[in-house]
Amino acid sequence: MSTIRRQLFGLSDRVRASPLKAWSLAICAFIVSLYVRFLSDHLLPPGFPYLTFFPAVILTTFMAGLWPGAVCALACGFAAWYWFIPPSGNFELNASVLVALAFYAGVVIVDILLIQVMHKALDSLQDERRKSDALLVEQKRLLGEQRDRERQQRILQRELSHRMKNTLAMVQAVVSQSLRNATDTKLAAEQASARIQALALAQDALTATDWEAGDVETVVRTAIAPHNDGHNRFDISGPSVAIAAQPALGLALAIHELATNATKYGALSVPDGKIIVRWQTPGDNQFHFSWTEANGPVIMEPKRSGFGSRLTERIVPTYFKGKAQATYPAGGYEYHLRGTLGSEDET
Amino acid sequence: MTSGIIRPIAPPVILIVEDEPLLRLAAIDLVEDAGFQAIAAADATEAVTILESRYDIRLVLTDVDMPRGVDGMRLAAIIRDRWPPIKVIIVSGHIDDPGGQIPAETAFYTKPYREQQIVEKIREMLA
Repeated sequence: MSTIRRQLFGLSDRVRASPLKAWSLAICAFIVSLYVRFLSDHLLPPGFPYLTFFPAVILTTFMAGLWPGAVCALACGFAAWYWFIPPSGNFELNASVLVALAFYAGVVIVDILLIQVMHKALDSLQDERRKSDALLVEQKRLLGEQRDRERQQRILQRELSHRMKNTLAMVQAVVSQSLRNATDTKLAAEQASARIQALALAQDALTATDWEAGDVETVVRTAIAPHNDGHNRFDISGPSVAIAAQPALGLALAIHELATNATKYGALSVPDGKIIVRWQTPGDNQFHFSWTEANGPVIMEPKRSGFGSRLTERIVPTYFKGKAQATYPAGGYEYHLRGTLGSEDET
Repeated sequence: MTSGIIRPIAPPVILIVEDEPLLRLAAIDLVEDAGFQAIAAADATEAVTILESRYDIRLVLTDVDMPRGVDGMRLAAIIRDRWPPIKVIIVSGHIDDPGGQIPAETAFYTKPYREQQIVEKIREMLA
């Protein structure tokens, strides 16, 4: 039943939305009702001039709307007056005709108004329903967005926890390696602390670029900053090139070691000492980094290899899948690293 | 009659699989300081190549998150399937509780781990 009702109201909406359909229906309803009225004229007792016209007006108003319904009512009224209210065949107006017409007008006006009120109420209801549907869609969208945000938040929290644990594991490795075979534990603790600080500075440089990758120059300058006494001791130059997080940390640790050694024994231990830092990307993802000290004291190759030299000569090159070489010419210490920058998915 | 020559017993070989070079070196030192022989791989693919070429590896100490597709969990499953006698210890900073993900007879520790705990576990698994 509700299906028929829905279909009927749906049909009414479609007809009312199209003026052509609405007025066509009004004309058809009038013609059909007039035709049926003529056909049934000999069957009906006197006094029923409007019998077929009432359904036509109600149907037209319901299906086609107020104005087609009103015009149909007017046409039906005139037809009934002319053909079916005695004396037929003219528009004579007398008291009984006036009463009959007034009765007709009263009935059709009430019918049209009631149907119109019903339509308005239905239109208003449909409007409300559309608004409710739109609100529901909006609510679903907002809920979806909130769920996405929460999911993103959880991913970020997991990622942060993962990175924190990896950083702590690196700190643990730095500490254990610094203390390993140490004869002076106080000095070893200071070295570990300085290395952790170098890691922290490199992390800052990476955090500024969303931790995915950094710029070599930023990493180099950040690592050198704590060792720069402000007297133009460093000559830093190289192209702008992206470096992934892991190699960036490795490079920062290497620079820290090189700068610490330069401060203790090399170019930074004398007033005129200079350090030239260069890097190049000659092609095919190649990465060359060099640290050349000048005007420094004569230094000899150390006899014993500590964690610092293991870091610069063995560990850091593996971040770049390459090799490093430290040399001790008369002009000053030199360190050359040759490798590749690698792709993001390898890091 | 027994020979008078005393052959030194070679220390058990442990394969360390870790992509982070600093952590790899620390793990190598940890294992060597504990009296074992360490060899290292930077990812699971390299680890499988080493396992295919050597028959003296007794235990694998592996990270979970590694480059080149195969992670430590998958590597542990491969080892359990292809080299059942080899013991496996998995370490991860990414997973807190692996639940049923880890294969049988495999130990799991979160990073950063207590070095002594790892050494004791290696000794227990190789006993």
